[in-house]
This record gives sequence, C-alpha cells and structure tokens, in this order.
Amino acid sequence: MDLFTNIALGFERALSLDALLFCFFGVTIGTFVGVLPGVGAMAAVALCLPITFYMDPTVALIMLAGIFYGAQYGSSTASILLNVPGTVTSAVTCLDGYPMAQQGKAGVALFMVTITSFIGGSIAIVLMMLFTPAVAAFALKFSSAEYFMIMALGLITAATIAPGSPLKSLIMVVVGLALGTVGTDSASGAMRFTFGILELSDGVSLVAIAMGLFGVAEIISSIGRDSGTPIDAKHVTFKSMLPSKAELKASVMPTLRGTGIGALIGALPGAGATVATFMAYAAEKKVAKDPSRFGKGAIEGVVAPEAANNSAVQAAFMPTLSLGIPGDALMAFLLGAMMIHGIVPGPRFLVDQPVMFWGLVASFWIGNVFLLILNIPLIGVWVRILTIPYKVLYPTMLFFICIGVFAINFQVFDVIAVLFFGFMGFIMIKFGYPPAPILLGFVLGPMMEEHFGRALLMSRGSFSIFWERPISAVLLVITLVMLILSAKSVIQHVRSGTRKVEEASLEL
Amino acid sequence: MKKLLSIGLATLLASAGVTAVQAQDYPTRPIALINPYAAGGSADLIARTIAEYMGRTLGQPVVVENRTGAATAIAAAYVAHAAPDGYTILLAGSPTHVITPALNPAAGYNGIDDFAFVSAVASVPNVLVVSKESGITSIDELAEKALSAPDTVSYASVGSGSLPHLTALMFSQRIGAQMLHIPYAGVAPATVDILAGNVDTGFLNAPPLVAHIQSGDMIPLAVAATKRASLLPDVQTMGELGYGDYEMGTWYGVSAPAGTPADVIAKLDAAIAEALDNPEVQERLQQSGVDIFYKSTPEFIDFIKSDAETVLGLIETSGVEGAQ
Repeated sequence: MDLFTNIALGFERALSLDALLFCFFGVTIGTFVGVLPGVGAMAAVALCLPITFYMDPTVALIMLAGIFYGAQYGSSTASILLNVPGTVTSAVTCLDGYPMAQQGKAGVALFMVTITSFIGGSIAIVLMMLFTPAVAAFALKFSSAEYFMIMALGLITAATIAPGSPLKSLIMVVVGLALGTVGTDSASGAMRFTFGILELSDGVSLVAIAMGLFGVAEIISSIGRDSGTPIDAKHVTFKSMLPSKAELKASVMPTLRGTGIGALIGALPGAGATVATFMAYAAEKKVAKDPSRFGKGAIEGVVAPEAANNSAVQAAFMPTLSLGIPGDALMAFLLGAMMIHGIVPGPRFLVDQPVMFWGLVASFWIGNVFLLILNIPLIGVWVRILTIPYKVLYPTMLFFICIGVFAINFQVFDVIAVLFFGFMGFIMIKFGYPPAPILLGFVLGPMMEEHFGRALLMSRGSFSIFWERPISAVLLVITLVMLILSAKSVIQHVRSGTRKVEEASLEL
Repeated sequence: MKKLLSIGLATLLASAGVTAVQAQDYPTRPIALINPYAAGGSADLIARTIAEYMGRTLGQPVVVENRTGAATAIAAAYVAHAAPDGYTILLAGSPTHVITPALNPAAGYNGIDDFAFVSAVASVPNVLVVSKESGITSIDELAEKALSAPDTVSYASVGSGSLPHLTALMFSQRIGAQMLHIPYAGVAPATVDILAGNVDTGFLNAPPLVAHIQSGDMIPLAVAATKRASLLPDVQTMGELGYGDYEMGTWYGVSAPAGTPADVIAKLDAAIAEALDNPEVQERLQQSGVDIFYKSTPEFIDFIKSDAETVLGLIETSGVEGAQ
C-alpha cells in the first residue's frame, strides 16, 4: 500500500500547474534538439541550467530530465528519414530505419518508433517505481570484472550486426577499437596516438565519429545522385503512416525484448544507452527466423533499439537517484544540478525527499504522454522534410551537424574531425564497409580496456577474478557459449558442404 | 569604399590608442570567465556564483564559458594566449597551472609564466574514506594495514596525476608504505567500488560522498586540509590526527593572461573579495560543500608557488607517464 501512497504523492506534485508546464517545456525542447543531428541533449540542458537556479528544485529537475528523455524520442527521426542519427544512441536505428524510409515507409517507421519509445519508457518507469531501492544494491554488485564481461558479450554478439560481409564487419570493429585507443591512457596517464595534438588527448569525439560516418558520409555520397523531388507531399497522408497489422504484430516482442535489455543495461551506472541499443539490435537479429532481412528495412531492427534506448535512459535515473552515482556525463550533470539546489541524491534520497523523488518519477510518465501526443502529429511534419529538394536539405543538414559538433566543446577541431570521418565513411560506403561496427568498437573498446586493466589491478594481476566473482562467471559462460555456438554453426554448414564460409557466417 | 576603409582604419587606430588608458575605466564590456570543467559540478557552481556577484561590482556582466577537454589544458591554453586586457580570465586550479602542464607536453603553455594570478576563491575538501565493509574505523588502522605488506591497501583516484592520486601518494610516502593505485574516470565509479569494498580507500572530493557518509555506508577518516571542512565539521584533519599538515583540497582561483595590467588585476581581486564577503555567496557555496578559500593576489602567488613545489615533487615520484 505504501507504494500507492507514494505514487499518489508523486502524481499530486507532478500534476501541479508549474510542474506540468515545465515538463511540457522540457520534453518539447528535448524533442527538437533530438531531431537536430549533432545537437545533443547535453547542450540544451547546459543552456537551461542557469534558468533553473531560480526555480523550485523539483520543477527544475522535471524540466531538465524532460529535455534528456525527450531528446531520445526525437533522435530517431533524422536516423530514419535521412540516415543521420540525431544522437549517438540512435545510430543503430539508421540500419533499418533508413531502408524503411527509402521503401516509402518513413511514416510507418516514425509512428512505430514513437509508440515503442512510449512503451519502452513507460515500462522502465514502472520498473523504476518498483525497484529503485533494490537497484542500489544490484549496481554495487557490478565492478570492473562484471563490466568487462558485459562489454565482451556485447562485442561478440553485436560484432556482425551490420548487413553484408561479416569479414568486413569485423575489420570495421577492429578499426573502431583502434580509434578508441587514441587519447590519454586511463591507467598510466600516457598519451597514445595524439601526435602532439592537444585536442586528441581526450580521444576522438564519439559524436564526430557518429555524425561523420553516418551523416556527412550520406550527404557526400548523395552528390551527383538524382536530385529530383523525392516524394510528393500529397502522398504523406495520415493513413500512410499507420502500420499494417502484420507490422504491429511483428513489433510486439522486439519492443518488449528491447525494453528489457535497455532497462537492465540502463540500471548499471557504467554501461550506457548506446551499448543497450547495439545489444537489442543484435538480439533481434539472433532470434529472427530470417536474419538476412536486417539492414534492408526490418521493422524489428527499428523498434527494438528504440525501445531499448528509451528504457535505458529512464532506467539510468535509478542508480543516479538511489546511489548518487551518475552513469554518464548527462546524468552527472543532472546530479550537479540537484547539488546546486542543495539536494544530495544517495541512499537517503528516497526517504528524505519522497515528494521530489516520486514527483520526478510521476513526471517522467506524464512527460512520456506529452511526448506521445506531441510526436504523433509531428510525424506528418517530419516526413515532409523528405519533400525538400536535396540541394537545399543537405547543405542545411551539414550546417546543423557542424554547429552541433562544435557546440559540444566549442572546438573547431571537432568540426574538422566530423568532416574527416565523413570522407572516410564515404569511401567505406563505396567499398561496401559498414559504419556501424566502427561505432560499436569505438564505444566498447576503451571501456573494455579500462575495466580489464582495473579488474586485474584489483586482483593484483590474477585472471581468476573473472570466474571467482559469481556474476562475472555467469557472463563469462554465456559469452563462451555464444562464441562456441556461432563457430559450430558455421563449421557445420561448411563441412556439410551446403554453404561457403561467407554465407554461413552471414547468419551470425 | 575608400571612405569606409579610412573610417575603419581610424576606428582601429583610435581603439589602439584607447588600450593604453583603458585600464582606468575597465571594464567597458562583458568579461569571459573560462571554466575548464563541464557545467554542473562544483567548479561550475563556483564559477557561476562568483561571476554573478563580480559582475554586480564591476558593472559589466561576467559570462561563464565552459571549455572542457585535455584535463583543463584546452581552457588554460586558450586563456594563456588571449589578449592580456582582463576580458578573458580563467577559473584556475592545480590542474590548470601545475599538474597538466607538467604531464602533457602538448599543453602548449607554461602554467606559471604565462599567467597573472588574481586571487584564490574556494576550495572543495578532499576526505579520506573507507567503506564500512572494510572493518577499518580509524586512520591508524588503515596505516597499520598499509604497512603490513606492499600493495595490501588499494586506493581509488580520478586519474593518474589527479589530486586524489597525489594526495594518497603523499600519505603513503609519509607513513613509508606502498599502496596500490587504482585510477578511475571520475568520482562516481570510484565511489561505487569503495562502497562495494572492491577498493579500500581514497582521498576524494567530499560533497558527492556526504550522502554515503550520512547513511553510514562510508566512514570518513580524515580531511586532507589544514582546517576542518564546513561540510564535515566532526571529521578531524590529517594534522590533528598526527599525520602532518596536508593542504590538498581541490582549490579554485582566478587567473588572467600574463601581462594583464596590475590595476586590472587589482580591480578583479577587489571584486572577488567583495563577492566572497557577501553572505548570499557564502551560503550558496557552503550549501554545496564548497569552502571559501580567499587569498589576495600576493598571497595567491605564494600559495601557487608552494602548491607547485609540493605537487611537482609528488608527480616526479609518482611514476606517471609524461612526468619529466
């Protein structure tokens, strides 16, 4: 009963006029910065922070958090329509979202993404209401050994997510891992591959890589392509946005699986939503009857990562609020905003500030409803973007990408980096090398290295730490089983002579 | 066109002439306070608070610009190479002036010679903590355990060459023990591992730990400063406990490019002193666990020199890559 009293308390706070108003304000800003490629929630939250000094702390947090999860709704829009991810977390959505748009199903994809985002977010909020206190204990069970094993599992399951040649995919994973080594080594403080360039001492910018390989590369390769008006505005009717029954049915399980993966990864302060999207996509490809459809506009490949993305973002609030441990830069920022108001999140937060905690959680759900109401009518507007001639649209996109990348650190270097990766991505497209595995390697590589080194430091150099800790041992077994199973299936097919190595490994 | 050009030239010349006497009516336009840290943390709170109140005294807004990256070197290099006119100033600290230039040869500036120092502003206390799981309840017990065998005690830091690393190094050197250094990417993951008992101890920024200290999950052993922290008034300093004086708080100050006129520096220093005298400012900082740490220009210069000596000495013995 206690739970219901608390939830009622939360909704009472979240439904007050000021909370509603700023919640709406936050999610609206979030949606728009999410849509703009490169311009992330971080920039928007940083801009809005000074305003919140003069607000009630609960309302301030409701608004800042709204920008954060609102951006996840908008971020898939540009991925689907233009193959340009709005934020890094929706890069995976490009893989099948953009092919869907090219088949004239942009409206359907956007509609489904909005619905699954809502479902993913809502389920995560329910989990949050039920399990936030328990998550603190759960998160403490994860240390470097466990994080390393999760990353290893992620890398192995997701290495072949891109369509086409698995060999080329693996090469790109390695390129990503190599790019991830650039910067200051966390263990020794040594500079690696920085070539004396100060801007490289923090490594290559993830946003620059994502926007360059997906966005700028797409823009460059459009040069010389037929630039006639792609879609007639009259074709964009509401009816054309509604998914068919088959599409709806095909989306149910992927949405739920994606939500589960997202919530689990999101609840761990050291993993991050990007990893969750990769793993959700990989899981769908693994369970699909015909994995070859992926990369060619499979609806499962769009809804699963988007559900994962939204549920991870909501779940990420659990360790932040109950443990005072932020999972990423943005959560750290929200934590900072709370501390400026004199509120210290941590084990006592739920008990000492029940109105604030439950008000915030209730506002998340209200915010998700707002986002649903806001985004469905906007689909019609976004799809009309496709009616803009490329010669106008693409330079505009390039402009926004450059501004967005620049705004993160006010560094011209990052703009140069995004253009460099744009050209690299263009060459890769021409030779059939997929960009997504680079991102996977780049995101996971540095984290794996850091956790691997730290786990061994903790064990004073003994590898047994990976199987002596129970959670790590379980993850290790799963990873090995995955590895053996995939190797076995390839070998069987090749032995029986039914398929060549290339073909057999396509199904991994 | 010609006329336009000559007007332009005239304006340029006129403005050049003004430079010489400008210090008297400084400031005549907004001042940029460059913050090397991301928005949201203690550093940002300090920067925004003093900027607001300095602006009131100076009659021109002081605008905080967050230029993060390369362990503060991006911001410091930017200010070091800015015009020395008092319109670009830096939120200074050990990293900007001492640690980063010593560790990163690509930093591209000299942490002492390229700057004019204005004043020290505030300090965030670093506190030595252990998990309640560790069974350790006093610094004596920790020292004893550390002395029993090399690397028995592990400590968390927020990176190689970071203040928590150097402070722990100082502690282990003074007691004559060898402790195992485990670097993290930030306070948050380090806190998790200390709480879970995967790492034994660490000298970390106090504000984010207070919740865990209050809940009893973390035990504070000592404050690495000469004065007790207002946030944790019951926790004794290292000196009180007989471990010698430590002035290893994370301090913040303001500096300007070398060559900034002395009267501009004086105006900035006076504005900072006035801001820190304001009870509203004191309340806002202390509420977030930040202690006022004001030092006037000459005191600040002496402080930086002694801080540099301590810190550089520690870096030399630390074995951190890049240390010369």
